Formats: sequence, C-alpha cells, structure tokens
Amino acid sequence: MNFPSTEFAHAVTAACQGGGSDAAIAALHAALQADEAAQDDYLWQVELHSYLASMAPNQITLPVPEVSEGRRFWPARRRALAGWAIAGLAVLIAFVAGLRWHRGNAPGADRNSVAGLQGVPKIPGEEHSDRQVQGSGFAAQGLIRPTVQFAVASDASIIVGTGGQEPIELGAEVPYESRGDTLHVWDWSRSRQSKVMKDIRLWPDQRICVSPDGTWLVMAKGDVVNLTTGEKSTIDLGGEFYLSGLAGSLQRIEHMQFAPDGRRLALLVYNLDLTKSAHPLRRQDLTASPTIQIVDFPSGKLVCEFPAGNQFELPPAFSADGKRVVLRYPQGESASKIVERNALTGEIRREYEPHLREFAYAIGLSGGGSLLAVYDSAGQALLWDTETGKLKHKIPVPHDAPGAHLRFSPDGKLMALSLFPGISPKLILIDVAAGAVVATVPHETSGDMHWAADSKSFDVIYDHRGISEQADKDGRPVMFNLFPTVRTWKVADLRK
Amino acid sequence: MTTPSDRPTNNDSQAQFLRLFLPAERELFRYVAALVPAVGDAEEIVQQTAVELWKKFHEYDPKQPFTPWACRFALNIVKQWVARRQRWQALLDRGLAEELVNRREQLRPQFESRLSHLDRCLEKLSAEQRGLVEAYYFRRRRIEVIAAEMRRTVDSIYKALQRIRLMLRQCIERAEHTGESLA
Repeated sequence: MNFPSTEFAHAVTAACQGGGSDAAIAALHAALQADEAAQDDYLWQVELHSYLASMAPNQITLPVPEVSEGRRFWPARRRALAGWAIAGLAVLIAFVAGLRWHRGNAPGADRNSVAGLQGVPKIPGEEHSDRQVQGSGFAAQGLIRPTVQFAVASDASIIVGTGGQEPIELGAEVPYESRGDTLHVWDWSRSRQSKVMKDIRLWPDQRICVSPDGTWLVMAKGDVVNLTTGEKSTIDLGGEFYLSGLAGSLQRIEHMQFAPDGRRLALLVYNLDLTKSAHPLRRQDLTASPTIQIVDFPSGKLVCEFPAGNQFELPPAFSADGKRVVLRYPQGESASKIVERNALTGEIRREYEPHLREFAYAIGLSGGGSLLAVYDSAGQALLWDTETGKLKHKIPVPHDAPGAHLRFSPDGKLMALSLFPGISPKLILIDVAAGAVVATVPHETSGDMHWAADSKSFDVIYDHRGISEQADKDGRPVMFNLFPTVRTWKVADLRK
Repeated sequence: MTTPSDRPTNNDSQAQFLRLFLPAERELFRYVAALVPAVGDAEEIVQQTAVELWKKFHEYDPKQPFTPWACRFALNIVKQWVARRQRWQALLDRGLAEELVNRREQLRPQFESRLSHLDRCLEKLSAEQRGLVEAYYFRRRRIEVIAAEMRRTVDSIYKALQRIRLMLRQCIERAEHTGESLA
C-alpha cells in the first residue's frame, strides 16, 4: 500500500469505522511501519475521528430521537463489565460512565422514536400553519424515523401501510403523534382513499412485503393476509426475531421480497454463529452472517440459501420467471461486484465484468431477462447482455444520489432511472438500444416505478417521503408523517 | 494479588478514583483509539483499562499525574486485546504500537491546536452533514441504523462520513495555516 493513495485513505476510514478486510488492515499497518509521513497522516485522521467520538453529548444540537437498534448486541464494554458487576465499584464506574455515554438512549416500548422525543415542543393538537421551520430541523436531517411504513406491489397499483381507524388519502400529512396500528390498502388506479382493514394489526416496524399482484401481504412473523378478502392465514418463516423484549430485540429477518412470479419469497436473514471466546470472562463470541433464503410461497419450504454479501443489502433483482436472481457483493473496500445466481439452487451463474467503480444502488433485469442494468454510485448506469455477459453500455449519469430505483419498460426499449431526492434529484430516461440518455428532468419524488403495459407512461410511487417539519403559529415545530404520492410521467412529455 | 472483592471499598477510595479517572477518560479513549480506532473496540479497551486501574489503584502515587499512569495501563490492555485478534497483530510487530503512541505524543500540541478550530468547522457543515456527525459520533448510532432511518444505503452513509471528515480536516488545516477566523 502506497502513501499517499486512495487505498491508504480507504484503509484508515475502514479502521475508524470498524470495517475493512484483515488484509487491508495489515497493509495499513505495513504502510505505517514503512513511512513516517504515513504515520503522521494516519494519527491526524484518527485524532479527528476519536476527538469527534469523545465529544460530550451536550454537543448535540437536536432533540434526542432514539429507536431500538434491532440487531445491536449489548456493547462490548458492558459485556466486559458484567463479570465485575458483583464487585461493586465496577458497577459504579459503569453506571457513571453509562450515564454520560448513553444518556437519552432509551427506546420506546414499541421500539419507535417516541421515547426520545423529550425536548420536542408539545404538539398543539393538529393545529399548524404551512410555514416551514428554518434552520437545522431534525426531520429534515432524517434522524427521526417516520412512525408509519408502506410497501408497494411491484406489478399492481397497490400500496399497503399503517394508519388509524379512518381512511387516509394518498399524499396526506398526518400528525406524527397519530401513529396507527391498522392495515390500510390503497389501489391508486381506483381511489386516493385507503381501504381500512380494521381488524388487522400492522405496526410501523414490522418487516412486511406484498405480492407482485397485490393480493398477499406477508409479515416476517408469519402472518399472511389476503388483501382482497381480508382472510388471514400463516406461513412458517422461522420467526422474525431471535429474541424480543423490553430490553431490545435481535432481528432475524431483515428484509423480505417476492419473486415476480409470486411463487417464492426472498428473505434476508441474519444467521448467528457462536464460537468459543478467547476472553477469560466470556464463554462465547457472537457473530452474524447474512444469507438470502429463497422459500416457496405459500408453503414456506426452503428452496435454497446463499450468502447475502453486505448487511442491509439492497433488494435483489429477479428475472420475471423468478428463476434467476442478481445481487451485489462487496468488491474490495469501496466497490461492488454483480453476481447472478440460479434462484432455485443458489449456484452462481455469472459474475459480471467489469466490477463497479463504487457501489450498486439499484439493480434490475429487463422483462425478458436478456438485459441487466445497474446504477453505480460513481455516476454511471451499466447495461449488460445477460446471455453473453458482455457489457453493452456504460452511460454517465449523476453521481450524488443517495439511492436509486430503475425499471425497464415492458417492451424493453426504455429504462427509467429515478435518483433519490438529494443533491440533484433526477428522473432519467435511457434508450436501451442506443445506451443513451434521452431525457433528464428534475423531480421531487422517487421510488418504485410501474410502467404501463404499452410502455408509454409510468408511475413513480414515492413511498419514502419521511417526515415534514412545520411551524405552528407560535413558531414551534410540528411534525407530520408523509403518506405516499404517485405521479404519472408520460414518455412523450419527457422526450420534449 | 489484590482483587476488588478483598480490597477495601470505602467511599473515599471510590470517590478519589472516580475524581481522577473520569476527567482522564476522554484522553484515555483518544490514546487507545490511536491504535485501535473503531469506537466500539476502543470503548471496550478503555473499560477494561478502568477495571485494571481500579485493581491497581493502591499502587498509584498521588504525587504523579494520573493520565500518563493510566495510559501505560491502557497500552498493556491494548496489547493483550490485540494479541487475541489476528486482524491487529501487525501492531505488535517491531514495536509499531509504541512507535505510534510516542509519535502521537510528539504531535499532540499540534493536534490540540488544530482541533481548537473544530467547532467552527462543524458549524460550516450543512444541516444534513451535521445530523450525520451527531448521529454517528455523538449518539453512537451504527451506520446501518442511520442508513435505515434515512432511507439511504449503508455505503452512501459510509461515504458521506468519509467526505465529512475530509471536509473537516481541510477546513481545520486551512484555518491553521491562514489563521483565519473561518467566519
């Protein structure tokens, strides 16, 4: 490893953030052994990092929203102190230190943000004005999680979400305090109002998915709801949690997704491995390794299982027949590689070249499965021929998006790429054969996209709108959950 | 060997220890982080050090400064911790750990001078960047959790934090070189 170099910078970052491979850390140490200038640079970077990490909680300028951090294990330092707990003073140290380091971190009993809202001015009913709060609002910064959640059917005009007992209109802004636990279903092709399924409980933090045709809602805990009839059934998915209680929870199923044919479910699962610990006070060490399990729906029978790559992996892309699946995996310290697997056996079918410059934020297969598209956060859209594995096009696109969605048109001629609202929110239309951008428009919505059957228009379902922060007449912040919006774009208009 | 269970645990002794340890804890954390930068790991080592310090507190000479005494313990704990982890073994090779802490000691006045500009540079961050710093550093939220809450990918948060540190570093170094107020 040379100094200075991008590799060196990445290795220091990885060391600071607890990531990076063993080889990268070893190479970093070798560079530090060899070069005094590298030592000075490393020490300065680490000093800044550790200084920030040691700044007192009173540096926080925002209220203290806190949520349960699903898979977070007890911090190692507390585990280490557990053996000393009976020794008296160690408890005192832990107590005093804990007070200082973890002040205000108590999650709400329902594992939502409510417990951390002390300090937020009381919301005066639903009264508010349209004035936007100026300055560093905490909603704008994404630090308070919405107390609603939504899921969209990939091929039907169906959205499900949480709400109260009354119908809610798409695009509504509902007071943050009005967290609901009731299932709402919208069919935006028919109405903007939700159908309330009053006897079905759905909480904002449950892991759920909807079948592509919008018929089935599946919850990670195993409940299944027919969204047309309201009929309830169950599927044994092995449990959403390893454990769950007031002290926290250990999530097992992190993400769920139907294959396009609706006959299989992909589960992103955390597997726990216990190994004998070298620590004298600890019997075992616990590590988690994510895998994807493909299970039959509705039987729940395991079809195959394979490694998932990173935690919080983005949803995989399935072929229309559900028999092929494409995922990203880490490639080095700061890039992704794209791998296609047989979704029935888990076997690798192909690793696509070249590897990405940075990370894959969106992956999609064309309807016929002959084309694969990936958005690389370095600022390029890549198109491969899946029959030959050859790269067909590398198309420059904006690089500052924090996320993206993409989808091919049914006739396979166009691809819509929706970049998350961020520095440069854009909706981009790409001519697949030419490998060229044919339209770029700014937009304020981003999400799953549904093409019309004639490929002449598509809907963008903006279901991650988050929270709005407004001011009441006294200037106090008032917060609202934002419900999804759907916007239709016509290709002809975009091309103008 | 004296253990916590057979040593006197009178309130005066406890209070004296805490009076010395708590002000030193922040520097102890930064000292450890120079060798093991991941926050969770460094915290674990600092807590193990705290336990060891208490066990040996009767050996402490109150006429000597507490922090250097504590740092010597911390270095030993780091070495024990590293010895059990293949990933960090190279720190023990050819005295790299000692070399780094010695070099850090030489650079400390320079670092402290630079860090005096940090608050001003933090103010120059955008609201979103400041929010990320607070979530990751001040509230100790895991990157995966921040990403989930912000509906962004883990990688984008990872990169954003890297960029923020670079911005802060450049801002601080610019202020240090020019002596500007950064207003």
